[in-house]
Amino acid sequence: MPVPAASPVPPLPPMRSVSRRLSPLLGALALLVSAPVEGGHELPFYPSFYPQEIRIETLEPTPAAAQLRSGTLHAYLGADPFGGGRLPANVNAVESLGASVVVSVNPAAPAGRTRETRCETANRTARALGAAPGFVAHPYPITPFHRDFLEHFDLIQARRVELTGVKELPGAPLRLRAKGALARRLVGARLVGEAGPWDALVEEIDPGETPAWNGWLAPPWLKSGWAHAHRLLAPALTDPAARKEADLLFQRLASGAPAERAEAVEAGRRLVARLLAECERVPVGYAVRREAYGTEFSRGIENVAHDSQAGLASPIFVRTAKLKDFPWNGWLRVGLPGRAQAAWNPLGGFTDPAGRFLWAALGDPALLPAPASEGWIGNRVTLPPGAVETAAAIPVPEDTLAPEAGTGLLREVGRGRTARTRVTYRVWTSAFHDNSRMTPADIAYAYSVAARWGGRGPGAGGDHDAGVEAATAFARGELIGFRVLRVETEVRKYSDVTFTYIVPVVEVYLATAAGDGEALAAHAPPWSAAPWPLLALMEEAARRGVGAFSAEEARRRGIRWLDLARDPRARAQLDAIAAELGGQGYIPPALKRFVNADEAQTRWASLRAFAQKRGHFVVTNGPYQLDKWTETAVVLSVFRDFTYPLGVGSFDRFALPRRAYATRVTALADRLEIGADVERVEKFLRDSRLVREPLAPLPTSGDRPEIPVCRYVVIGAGGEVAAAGSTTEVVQSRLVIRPGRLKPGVYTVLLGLALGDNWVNPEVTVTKYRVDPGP
Amino acid sequence: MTPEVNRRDFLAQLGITVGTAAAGVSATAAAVGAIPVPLLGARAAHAQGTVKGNVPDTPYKIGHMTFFTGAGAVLGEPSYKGHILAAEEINATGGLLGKRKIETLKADENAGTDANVKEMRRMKLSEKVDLFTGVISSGNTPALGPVAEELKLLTIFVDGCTDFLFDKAVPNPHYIFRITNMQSADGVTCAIATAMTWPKVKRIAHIHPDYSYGRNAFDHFNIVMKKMVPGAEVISEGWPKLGTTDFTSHITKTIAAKPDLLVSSVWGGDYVAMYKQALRYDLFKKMKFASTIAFGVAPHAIGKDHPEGVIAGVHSNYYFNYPPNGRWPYNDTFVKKYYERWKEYPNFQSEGAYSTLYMLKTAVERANKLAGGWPDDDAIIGQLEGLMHPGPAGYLYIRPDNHQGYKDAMTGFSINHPDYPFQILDPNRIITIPIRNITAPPGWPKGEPTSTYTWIDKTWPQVKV
Repeated sequence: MPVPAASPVPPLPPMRSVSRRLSPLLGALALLVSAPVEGGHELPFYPSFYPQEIRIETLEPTPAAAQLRSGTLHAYLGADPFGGGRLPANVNAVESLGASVVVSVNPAAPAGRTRETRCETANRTARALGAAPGFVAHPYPITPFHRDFLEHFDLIQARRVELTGVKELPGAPLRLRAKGALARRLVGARLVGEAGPWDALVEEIDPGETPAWNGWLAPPWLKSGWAHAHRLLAPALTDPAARKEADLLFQRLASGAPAERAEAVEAGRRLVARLLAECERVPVGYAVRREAYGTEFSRGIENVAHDSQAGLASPIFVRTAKLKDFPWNGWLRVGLPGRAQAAWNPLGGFTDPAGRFLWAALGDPALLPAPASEGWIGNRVTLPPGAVETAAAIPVPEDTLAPEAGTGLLREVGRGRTARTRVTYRVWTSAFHDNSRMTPADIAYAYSVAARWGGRGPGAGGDHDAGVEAATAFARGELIGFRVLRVETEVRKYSDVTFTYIVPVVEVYLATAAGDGEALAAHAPPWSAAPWPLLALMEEAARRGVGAFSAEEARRRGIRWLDLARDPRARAQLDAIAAELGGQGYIPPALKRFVNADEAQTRWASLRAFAQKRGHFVVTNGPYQLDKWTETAVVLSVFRDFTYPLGVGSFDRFALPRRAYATRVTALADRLEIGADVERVEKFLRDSRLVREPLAPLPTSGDRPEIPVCRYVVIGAGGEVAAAGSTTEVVQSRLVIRPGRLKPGVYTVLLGLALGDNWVNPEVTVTKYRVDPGP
Repeated sequence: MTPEVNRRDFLAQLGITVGTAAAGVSATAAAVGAIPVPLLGARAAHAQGTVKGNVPDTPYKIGHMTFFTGAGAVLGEPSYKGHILAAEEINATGGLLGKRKIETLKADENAGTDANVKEMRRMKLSEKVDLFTGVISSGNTPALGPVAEELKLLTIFVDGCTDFLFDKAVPNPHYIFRITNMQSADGVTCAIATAMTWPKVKRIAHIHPDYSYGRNAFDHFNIVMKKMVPGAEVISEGWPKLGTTDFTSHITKTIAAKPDLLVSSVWGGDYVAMYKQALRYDLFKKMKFASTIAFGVAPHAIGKDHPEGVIAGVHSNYYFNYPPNGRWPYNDTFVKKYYERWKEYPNFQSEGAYSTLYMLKTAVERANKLAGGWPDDDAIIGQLEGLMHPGPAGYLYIRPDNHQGYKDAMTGFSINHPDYPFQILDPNRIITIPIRNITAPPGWPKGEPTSTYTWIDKTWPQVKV
């Protein structure tokens, strides 16, 4: 997993660290100090990201295509305005995983009676489907957009071979129903009406929304292929025993229980096999989401990163998009096909495509999903060396605070508690948009709100929100407690300017067992994207029926979905509640130990002043702030506040994903040696290109070239996973796989290479490996 | 009492040239009283002479520190490209003295000053680098300079142009050199170009970044204007804070003041944002405009919508189309090779890093010629001191007393040209000024805010009104 335990977020350089006591610093500010004389023109650090303004507009595909052609629109998110056709010369596109297409055989029809007939019908349906722009026939739930594609490659090939043998039965044409535009197009003339008999349903299933909640993007397996397969296929399992088995395998993988890589690979393969076994729902392909962006020399985009599954509507796009006309700054204009309809609030809003993109810019999660892999990258939290500790029973200090389900009160866990994991985070705080400074109270309150509104406990009142319950279930389930150890200051000097940051160090105790240690950092990170007074205000608004956090809860209670900006009535009510709470200097009961009366007064005053000035309550500590909006357009302005710890270019390493290729594999007695080609980025003018070249021999001294990571799976004759792992060992410019002790026999080895954690659609090499009996 | 002179005579005394004259490239030589070096073809100049004595064939290890990430990468990547181009050329002829191939270790300057100091130590103590070079930030050279002296590490800074380095941080350098013009040259050059071009401007507005570069540019521009355009007054000042993206208030305030001229030292992405906002207000139609550093990023960074005919500074160092094609083989060859290698045009950091290695090569060869074998650092230093090196930008002179490189300061006027997809400096209107004539001479007492400032203030005559 790419959250480095031993080093901080890559853009944050090594710094001087000074530990201090907590209390004197709670009110401290990140300082910007400028001294005379020394400075040059080249201040290299500009907080936040490239564009100074992001304008998001609702646009139909046709005008979007015209505006991309003319260079007046920079990018179009969520759909392909060119309909899969040829792109104009000054337009490029990125591809990500779109909807999955599955076949469900009609259980009431003869075709659905037995496993054999279901499988046969599903296979025939797969063969019978037509073509559509962006559709890829793929009879397996794990795709090249999933990192574990490599581990299933032989099974995918086997499924393909199986399908090639399937023939249309003469005299028995398939009668298909379809759900979704893409499905209807694929079904074509075989489509039958809702009333008539049918054999199978071809269905387009969206991979689902990223379950963002405040600053959490968990669960950690969000992008894994096995989790995608479970999400897609498990609901169709009708046999309770089969479902139970699939769920157990899923939980085993989710908990990180398999200690060895081979065991985890085996579990993933078994899970998919279980999900496919009865052919109740069978994947037949997926859509590739193509999103266009302008590349015209002067007005286009120079840098662009996208997420392999979310595409451009993802946090990484906002954090890397650089306009060609500006070394930094500039006005980025993006189009979206639909209006922003979901409510805007950080606890259950921003759930539609426009909202998700807005939240990607406004909200700052603790960690970001690795764009071309399945891991996580540090964003506002970093892990010092040894940050993740796992053991059978780690003693939890008695003063560790645990949020109480239903009330959100933070209570000490007391004596005798143990945990399976302890993660120590360094939390990079900064100013909120209302100019108040983030403190440990904001961190603590995120846990409290999740427990109060998402949990159910004996002391609970009526405070509950089904959306919060669902979005926070995993984090609440794993969290035992947290402890703010200390608050450090970090000093960074650039030119004659000194930046000082306030960095709380927080321990989090988890109930979950190990697995891949660093992924644990994504379970329940100590982070909040919104200030505690805003969360307290929202809670009070929800209690008084002004609005519910989530759409589900709004429906259930028959009240409005709480919108912090666009609902004038809600805004007026929020103003009134803020005045009331601010006037009292209200401190939520959970925060009594974190906030004193003066601090509370200051925080409420900041929030109210902000709302008065800006006309909304969307306050975060993210890189962009909500500036203005209409029905069809939203304008965000950059928050170049000098307490913000990340800067222009921080995530540029993801903007030009490179690949590596195995060119030759040589099997030796105890190892495999792999010749490799790697890609290198050459930047020039306002453009760049990838150059493919052989991996250079390692120099005896000096700069080492970046070594690709080679992942491999060794499969025995019976299909069992005998070994799996990864290597970066290089001998004379060849990568070396040492599979370890294997029983004599012939094995199939699947291997793939990647650079910069880019695991999208790797070129998979399949080779045989013979282990002879020993002497 | 300050003596008075005629402006035309004053400008003539400064040795300023305008246009495409090749004389510009030898002005430094004349100014420092050195013997002009004949203009050789690049191939001849770079060729390996006869090597005396035994020279080891071990690699010559160079640490090159520059910005590879963050906003500074817009300058750092060209620096690295210039360095690599020179290293590849030298290695293609067998290396230094035909034997020692250059091996480069790179480091990202974006790590911050403290980390950079650690990295310099690591490079010297663990990697055993023979030379340390690069460095863009003026915040880093005053921190790295004393450490290089302590480590006895031969160091040639490509930039980090603060006057503070040799004025105060390392006033008596032995191991460290720097080859870009000092920061004070920016304000001085901009003011001289203004006085030459628009001598009648009286009402002057300023917009500068609110940190030391802006203050430095403001101070040095004003002290020169006081001498050359007496009666000119500052009628408006704007000091955008670091991180400002909305320059509207400064632009409208400037327009409201009705100046004849706006002077600015806002740079990089901030400058691009500012000029595009100023275009919306027709600012450039309402006043003249002079910048110390508008074109001081990379040539391709400036769009064709940039106003033409304004003074567009290049950090007073180098622009790729000057000396113009056919007038100075070093630049012809350099620009051609650089473009072929990197598919873009070089900026002043590219030229600086490139020249650094050729300067080293020259010093090593001369030292070898004197004593044979591989010269020790002191022998190389001895050759660098006082070196008059012909590079792409013209002659670069290394002053022996303070190890500061001096080359003609330059600036020019913006123009669109159909051959380029970005705006360039008008090759027919380049202004060059012998650097010696705008820099405090050896022995001048250290002053505030800089020695050059006090030298100008105390010694320059004032133009007769």
